[in-house]
Amino acid sequence: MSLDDVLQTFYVEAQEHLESMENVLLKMDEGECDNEMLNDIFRSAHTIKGSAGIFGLDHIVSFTHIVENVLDRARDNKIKIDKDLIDVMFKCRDHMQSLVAVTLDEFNGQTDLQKIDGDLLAALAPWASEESNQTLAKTSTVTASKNDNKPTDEGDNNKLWHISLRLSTDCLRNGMDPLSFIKFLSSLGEIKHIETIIDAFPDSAHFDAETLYLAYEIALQSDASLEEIENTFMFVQDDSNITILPPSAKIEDYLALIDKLPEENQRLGDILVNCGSLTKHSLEQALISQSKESTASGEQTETHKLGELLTEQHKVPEEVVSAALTKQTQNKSKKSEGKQIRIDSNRLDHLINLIGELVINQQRIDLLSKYTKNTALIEAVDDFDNFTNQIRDAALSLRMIPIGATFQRFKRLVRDTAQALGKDVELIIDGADTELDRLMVEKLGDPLTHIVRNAMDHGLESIEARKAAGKNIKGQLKLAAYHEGGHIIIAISDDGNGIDKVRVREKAIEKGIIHPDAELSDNELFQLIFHPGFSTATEVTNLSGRGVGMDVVKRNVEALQGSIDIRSQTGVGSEFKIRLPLTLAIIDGFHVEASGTHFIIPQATIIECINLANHQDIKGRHCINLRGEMIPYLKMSEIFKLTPSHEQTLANNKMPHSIKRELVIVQFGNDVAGIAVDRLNGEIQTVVKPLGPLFKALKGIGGSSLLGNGEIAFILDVPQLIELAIANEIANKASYLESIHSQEK
Amino acid sequence: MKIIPINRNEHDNSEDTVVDKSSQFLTFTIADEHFGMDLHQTREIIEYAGITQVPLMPKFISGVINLRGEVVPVIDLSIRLGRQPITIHKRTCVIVIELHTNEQPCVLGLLADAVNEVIDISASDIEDAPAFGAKIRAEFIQGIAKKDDEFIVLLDAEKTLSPRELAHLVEAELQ
Repeated sequence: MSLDDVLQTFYVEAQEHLESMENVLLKMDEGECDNEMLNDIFRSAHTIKGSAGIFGLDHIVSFTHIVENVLDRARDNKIKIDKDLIDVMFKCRDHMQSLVAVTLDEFNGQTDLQKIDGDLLAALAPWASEESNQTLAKTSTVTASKNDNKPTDEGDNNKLWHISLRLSTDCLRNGMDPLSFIKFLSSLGEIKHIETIIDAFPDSAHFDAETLYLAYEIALQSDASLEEIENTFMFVQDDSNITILPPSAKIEDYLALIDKLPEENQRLGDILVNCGSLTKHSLEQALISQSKESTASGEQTETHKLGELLTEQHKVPEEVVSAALTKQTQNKSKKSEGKQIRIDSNRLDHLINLIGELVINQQRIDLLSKYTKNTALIEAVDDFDNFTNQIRDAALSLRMIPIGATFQRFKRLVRDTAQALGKDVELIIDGADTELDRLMVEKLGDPLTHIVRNAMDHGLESIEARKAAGKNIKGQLKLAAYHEGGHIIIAISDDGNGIDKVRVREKAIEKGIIHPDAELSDNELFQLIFHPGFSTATEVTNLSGRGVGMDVVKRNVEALQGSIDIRSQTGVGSEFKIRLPLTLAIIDGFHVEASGTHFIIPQATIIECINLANHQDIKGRHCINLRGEMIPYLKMSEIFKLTPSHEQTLANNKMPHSIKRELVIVQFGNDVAGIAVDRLNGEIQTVVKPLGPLFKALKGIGGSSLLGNGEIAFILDVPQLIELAIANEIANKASYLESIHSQEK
Repeated sequence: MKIIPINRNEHDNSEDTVVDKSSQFLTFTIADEHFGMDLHQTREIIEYAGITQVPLMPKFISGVINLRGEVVPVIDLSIRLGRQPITIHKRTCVIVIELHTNEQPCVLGLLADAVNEVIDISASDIEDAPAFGAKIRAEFIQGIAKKDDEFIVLLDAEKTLSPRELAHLVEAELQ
């Protein structure tokens, strides 16, 4: 691992911690607050500080340290958490984020950041008065028992930690510099004394520049907790021998340490004395008592007395240590639960492409095996089918991520925007588990931001206006995601004032987008707001109103093969509905044929298939009566103006009965319609092959797919197809327009 | 840091093509007319083995073919150049070309009656397209070359088959 890679890891980790900090802060902002949350946020800040220290990113360490101090004080109930503190904390978090971000960027633009640094530290000052906290150390029992190793009142010597470092000899090879640990320790407190032990140095002939021969004994005067100090060595603790003795450690602990270390006992003892960790007297006494113990068993009582004496002198909060340890193991187990592997997305795409090919090939084998009529073979191929399906599903699920994380991010946006606008807005999130293709989630961020901002700015009213209208003063903004007929719907709704149709119309006329006499349906009117340069806000705020945004929204959504619908009612609210296809690499489809052309209808949209011959058209309309419901249908060969090829006509003439009129009943949203085809060929797994830019304007067909025999089939986009049918009907002034409309309503 | 060498490579390549004075052209015939196309833009030639028509498309789009798992649109170049639709016969073939106009490469198939040969034509032997009389939009023609007393119309594939323009034509047809 090169240093760059390690930095990258640091960055990714820091991002995760910053994200969790934000989430906790948001919860606090909503009024929830307990010690666990404070601990969480403290831990995040602390880990960032710790890893930053390892990389020698002193600016991050020093800033985060102050933040951490404040958090620590909050944790000890020394300061109260109020709205102001949370606000400052949000800003600090953002600042930490920028600090972390610039590290990757070679510290560009640091000057600005330094200014922010100063401002924020000043803002933190009221909470940070760190020197005055000593007297309050005993206030909270909860925190004290968890990780408070602060001294009570026994003077300087008691704050003195002793750290014995026997780092692994491979330490340097792994990219860790012992010096950086020592540097970091000095950020936790003051290093009183360091003894470097060079006993392990070989003669020059055996010296290896990459092997670490040095060992250290460090005396650190610090208020930090054991956990904090231990965390310093988080990256090396696995293969190193590190002993940290708390200020209140018993003399036996020191003796144990001396025994454990490879160096000569007396020498170590001297070193410890040099460090100030032990007094000469106590060491001598202890060593004597130890030797007594080993030689004369009869005098054990005396030894014990000494031990007891020492214990009395240095009150050891045993539970402190064990609590700190359990805490740490908890942290570890938490981490392993969310264990993730980061994979280059290109490799993943490659895998999915390969599986796509596998699916096609499997279909070909399926087809061939059926020709052979060999039952054993067919069975084997069936099994093979099963596994291919499973592999496909597993591979595809790799690409899917829940939308929740994206939604969560809006909490912050909504909070900040509401504050800036002086509005009271509550964000409700629904369907956070709905999974979308990774690519889509990434590309949805911008459009969603625009819509949310617009809703906050133009949709939701000010507190006074809401009061006047008799609404709850807390405005509601809802982000929801759910599946609907083979599509994913992302809905953004608010209970604000709705879209002012009159204003939209006036504005559109003013901007010359529509003709003053134009008659528009509500939907057409709403679609106008997606027109480039259109904005109804009378004032341009810094949030929205510049008229860029909504057209970008539409473009982005369309780039994802999606569409966007608006519903709005004056005074009640509006809803933006983004409909996205499940355009994954592979879908389950139903293979049909019309006039010799192969089509695939996405399985998810299909309700049932019926034989058209058994149903009579309702007078003069392309409508059938299906169990009492009127279902409009369209004929595939008509809508796509398909003319059977010459061979096809010949074949049909030979076997006129081979063609049955079949009707596939599909659902899109709440609406049901039928698609009339010539032949049903059954379920099929298809690999979606986009048709490319040339066919972008072609409505009703979402892509193409290869059949087992190598022929090309077109994948239907059902809602588009229905739209196309409606458009055709309008053009033809046909009579069943009414019925489709009434169905739609 | 890592990007620079890649850029340099691309730069070198573009210089190469400028420096290279004679270029190779693939020549083919449609209805007794000879055409040529820069060999760099052609990928392969395959036998015509049926085509899947795409509904509602303008006539110059013959359909799509399955090229080893890739769905490739096929253009009737004859119609695109303002002539009669090509007549499919036993020897009809599809020239697969690859264009890099936008960032994405665009693969297209062209219907031709016959593919003749690959010839070297030096820049000096290429004459400018006549201002009129070729019955082909002047911008489509990169130049005219003469070989064995026959004129070869060298087509500028990027202009003739600009994916953007073709897409606009499709859009117009659908409305």
